[in-house]
Amino acid sequence: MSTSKSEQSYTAQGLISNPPLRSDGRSLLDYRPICMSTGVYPQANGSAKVECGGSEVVVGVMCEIDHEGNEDHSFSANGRIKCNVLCTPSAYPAHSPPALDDLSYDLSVILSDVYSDPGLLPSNLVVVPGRKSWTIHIDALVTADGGNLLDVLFLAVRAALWNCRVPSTKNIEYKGSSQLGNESAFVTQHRTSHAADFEIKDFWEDGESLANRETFPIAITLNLLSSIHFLDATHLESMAAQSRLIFIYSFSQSTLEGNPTIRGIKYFGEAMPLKNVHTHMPVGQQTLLVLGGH
Amino acid sequence: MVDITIRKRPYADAVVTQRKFLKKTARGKVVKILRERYLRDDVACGIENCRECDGGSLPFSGVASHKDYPQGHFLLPDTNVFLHQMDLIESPHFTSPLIILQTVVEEVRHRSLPLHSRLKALITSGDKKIWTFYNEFRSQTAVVREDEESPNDRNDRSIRKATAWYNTHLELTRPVRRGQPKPVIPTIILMTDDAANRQKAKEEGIPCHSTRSYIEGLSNFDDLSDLLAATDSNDLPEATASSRNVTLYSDYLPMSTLVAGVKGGQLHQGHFNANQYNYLEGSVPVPAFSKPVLLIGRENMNRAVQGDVVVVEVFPETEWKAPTDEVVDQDSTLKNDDPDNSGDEEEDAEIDAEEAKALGRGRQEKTQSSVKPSSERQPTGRIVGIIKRNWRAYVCHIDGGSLSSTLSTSLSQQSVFAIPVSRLLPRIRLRTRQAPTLLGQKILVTIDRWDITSRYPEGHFVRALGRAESKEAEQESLLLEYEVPYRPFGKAILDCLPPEGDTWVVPPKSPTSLDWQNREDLRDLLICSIDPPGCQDIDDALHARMLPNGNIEAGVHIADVSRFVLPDNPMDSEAAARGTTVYLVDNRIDMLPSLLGTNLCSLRPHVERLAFSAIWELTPEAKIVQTRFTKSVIASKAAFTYEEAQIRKDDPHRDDDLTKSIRLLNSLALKLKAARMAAGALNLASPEVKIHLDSAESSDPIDVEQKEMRETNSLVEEFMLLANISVAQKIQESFPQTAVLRRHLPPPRTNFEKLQDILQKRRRMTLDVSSSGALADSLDQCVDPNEPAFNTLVRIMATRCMLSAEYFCSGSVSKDTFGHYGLASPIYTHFTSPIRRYADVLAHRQLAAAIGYQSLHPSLHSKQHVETILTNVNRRHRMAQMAGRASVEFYVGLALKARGTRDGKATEVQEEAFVIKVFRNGVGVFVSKLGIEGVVMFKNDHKFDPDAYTISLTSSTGKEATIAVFDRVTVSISVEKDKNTQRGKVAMSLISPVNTTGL
Repeated sequence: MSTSKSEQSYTAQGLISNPPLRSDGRSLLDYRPICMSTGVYPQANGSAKVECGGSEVVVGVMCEIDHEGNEDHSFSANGRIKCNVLCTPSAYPAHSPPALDDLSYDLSVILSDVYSDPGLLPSNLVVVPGRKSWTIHIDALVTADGGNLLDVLFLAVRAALWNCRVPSTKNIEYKGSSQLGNESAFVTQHRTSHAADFEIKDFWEDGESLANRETFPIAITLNLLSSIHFLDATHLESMAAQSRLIFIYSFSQSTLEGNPTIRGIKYFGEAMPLKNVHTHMPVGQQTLLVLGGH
Repeated sequence: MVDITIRKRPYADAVVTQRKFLKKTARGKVVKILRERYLRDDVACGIENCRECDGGSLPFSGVASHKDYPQGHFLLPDTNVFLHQMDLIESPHFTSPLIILQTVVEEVRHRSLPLHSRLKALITSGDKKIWTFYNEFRSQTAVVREDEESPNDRNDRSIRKATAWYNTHLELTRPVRRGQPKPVIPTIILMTDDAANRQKAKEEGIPCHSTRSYIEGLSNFDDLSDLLAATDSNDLPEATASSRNVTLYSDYLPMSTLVAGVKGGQLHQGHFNANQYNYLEGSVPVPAFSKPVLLIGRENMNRAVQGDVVVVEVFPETEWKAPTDEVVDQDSTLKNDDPDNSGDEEEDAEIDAEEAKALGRGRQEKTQSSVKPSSERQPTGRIVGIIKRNWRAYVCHIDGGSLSSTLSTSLSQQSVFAIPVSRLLPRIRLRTRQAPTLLGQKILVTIDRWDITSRYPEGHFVRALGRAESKEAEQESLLLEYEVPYRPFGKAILDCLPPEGDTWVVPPKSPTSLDWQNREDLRDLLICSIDPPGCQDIDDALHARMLPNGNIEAGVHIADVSRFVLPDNPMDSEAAARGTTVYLVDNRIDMLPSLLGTNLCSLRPHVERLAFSAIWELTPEAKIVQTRFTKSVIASKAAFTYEEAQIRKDDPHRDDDLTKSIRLLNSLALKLKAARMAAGALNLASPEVKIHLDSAESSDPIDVEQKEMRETNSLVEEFMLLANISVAQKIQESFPQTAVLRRHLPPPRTNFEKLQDILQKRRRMTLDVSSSGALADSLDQCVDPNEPAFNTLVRIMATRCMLSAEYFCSGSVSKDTFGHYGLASPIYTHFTSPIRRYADVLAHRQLAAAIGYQSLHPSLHSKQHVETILTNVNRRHRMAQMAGRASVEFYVGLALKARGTRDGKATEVQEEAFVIKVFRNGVGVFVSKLGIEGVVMFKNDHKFDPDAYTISLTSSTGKEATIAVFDRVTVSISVEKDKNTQRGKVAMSLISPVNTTGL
């Protein structure tokens, strides 16, 4: 979607005027109404759809068994999370297919970067210790982009993971003759053996939630324009903004209250002196940025 | 315009209409499966004249055969009833109207496929009043699983809900009307053997019964009580066997543990094979070892029955043993066991001791002289679990000795032993009221269960087949034992035949006739058929003629069965299930209805028949110049027997065209055979005998003789091989993924080790098994000038070392294993007998598609489909061969008996025999003249040398003789009736070199 210079400058003027003026009448820190529904794909293990303004992202989460010695030797005993974002042509009618691919790729990388953090890996992905584990596939589909896509994307992914149920499994193993209480010669021979396989505990039950689903992050994009910042930019507003600063927060295990922790910060746009960043930071987290920033 | 209403399902309904479940696939993935169901209000209840529902076949007022329900009732059994009491339900005496729920049918399918197909057959047969109610699709009876509810509980609840619904439904649809008598409302009875379920049903006010308590209330209880299967249900009178608290066997491991163990390689899975010479020994071939895993003793065999899929644990190598070389007969070891015996420790101990002795004998000496047995030792282990039982109905005799009361008037229930005809099966204990009447009959018995406290499996009586040794009973028992489907063809199948029936003829030639399209008119060719005498299903015919260019045109014409048997109709499915025609001595169980087999598809002389022809142009040296295949119309000029054809060929005065063509065929066949032999084809031998039947009516066999082979047999054979090979090449070319082929894998070298060793030690002969050609050559060298039959014997023994040929789907195995070892052909199929073999029908369809005659049915493009069919055909084929052999054996027995009493008084039949196996306490002999094998057993111990394959006997007169494998001996053969079982047993004893009667 192309916008003219004059449109951009008109929008920018409105934003920096005092009081700020946005075309939909919001204040600078207001979000547009967010509509979220979960469990939209019963076939998936978890799913969610999030709409915010004109942006819409649908996410499906699938759990897949991964085993030792798989085709690409990428097995991880504790499980892993794989992310993939696909931008549909209908969301970007003006983009050429390669440009669409690039965009999808960029979004996938941002998402993967965050979710590859071992701290975010749920602890209940191990199926058979050392041999089998769950791989969580997150597939996000951008069906419309009305601005502020990253926030919506992270929100939808978090909602889908929140909704996700990992099938409960039960390990099975052969412990040798000790089970039968027979000749002693065998007892020692088989005692060291480990579980070899698993079975589904209850095939009618969806399973259990991901262990630390509270921690999964959300993103908040600060759109920077001269000395002010504003949230949830519409498409036009984001064109007017000079740069964007994205904070990715995750939450502590137990509650949603308390201080969220920063998982990452991304910056897009013109070069900006670091001290200027501080002015946009929420109070109390400035030190974190220095320590934990990317 | 027609109104179209689209009723969208509200989102909230999803809970009821969606069924989702997780499934673990064979490859270890977990998939989530989502099924949508549409609930309706018009699923019919199935009761006649119901005010609400359409259709229905159950009687309006039920039946009043139960004493507790004089107002009539219907029966609604739960899943376990079908899983355990199928014989009862199937019995013609069981006439209660049944309502079968969809939930039940599906659960049965999950639990046992064979029972599911029996249930389906029962529902479709129309013999019984049965209605299948689709309860999961009716909105009032659909059940959604509650949290924390196990699938079993959910199904039970669904069954109870359906029963309750039925009862209300009947009440609602038959309201009381003023001025009319109160309507009689029949009851729907829930039948379940699960006490907890009955308890819940009672709380919900649903009438329910256990199977036993239900049939006890029926008027014909006596007819049904024997059919009641033994179950763990607690309302059964305390089973006598389990009251004894001695645990004889160890418990099985849970299924998941077994699977994990097998996957982890600590346990091994395979089919259990009982040892027919020693009932205390069995083996399980597993992929991990080249030799099968040996199981010694009852405890280690742990209640496995022949054919079960079992899991074994292998002992450490130091405990590996060699199989015994002794015959242990359960009839003699267990003769004192009493089926009613409850807790008689003394007797138990006696049996244990007896069995321990039987096991120990032979093995002890082995350990003493165990310098070399490491080569003979094989993996030894024990069964820790059963993956799948393969129990079916077995033909048995009642053991007369086990009866406590033989008074024929006694109607009290008693426990008796049933002894299966097959030596591979253990005795079965059953409870029956009819024991005295069943004595001396062949009966069918099913195993129900085998507890760890019971030495024998428990079973129940299914039906009687008739007097033992009567031909009808023996015939049927053979068919049952080898699982040959022998029921007459049903209406649906016969409806697939041409409506003209017998009067069907090839329509007159015209361009519009469908039958003549793309068919060649070969009616003028001099075609003839050559078959065994009395052959009715003539499926092949031949012709040959000189071509102007000096080459010869030869043709094989096969009945065009695929014209009549169209893919995927009931006749086709039945033929696929039967797989092959089974030939018994005086009976034939057809694969296709006899209208096709003996008439429409039989290439009778002087009538026009449809055929599928393979026509070659051959040089006079029998080299193929050109091959073509075509559908055709032929008119055979003559049907010869092998003998007639032979005489005609050899008669120098005959010089007509037909005779010339036979001679031409013969000359080609000789060259074809020579070429085949040069390529390394084997000349195998199996004992084949012919039974002479006295006359058509009595069909008493009077004598047995060996089959004769004529030149013309070989003539037909060569051309059939040629046709099969040519067709195989063609269909493999056209359908590389799904071609129906036949192969014979080269036998593993180890199979021959024993035979090579025996030949080396006894006769100083060597057998070169490096290739089929080498084997053929070395078999030709195994000649003993004094013993013309010796070579045949070696061939028979070599044949037994080989694997059997099998059908396969070309896409399923690697291309270098296509070869046929025995025929030394790189590719082979069966094309020439579509009337009696189903694989040939498939080959016909593929060939027809390959030549563009018609398109191939989609099912024949599916590798999986072809594989499934061929697996079944292979099994049927094997079973048919065994049934045929058993039938011959039975008639040989009858013939021997007849021969023995021919002169009015009993005389012994003496025959020459070859020793083929030496045991510690007996020798296995083969009587080539009669084609039978037998075991001569000695009571006393003798000097036995397992390495030299000899046993030294001392006769009662003090004469000593050594008998070795391949020795020619004279045996006396008699048919002995086993006193307890009425089983006709061929008994043999040595006459020379030593008379062993009494030894």
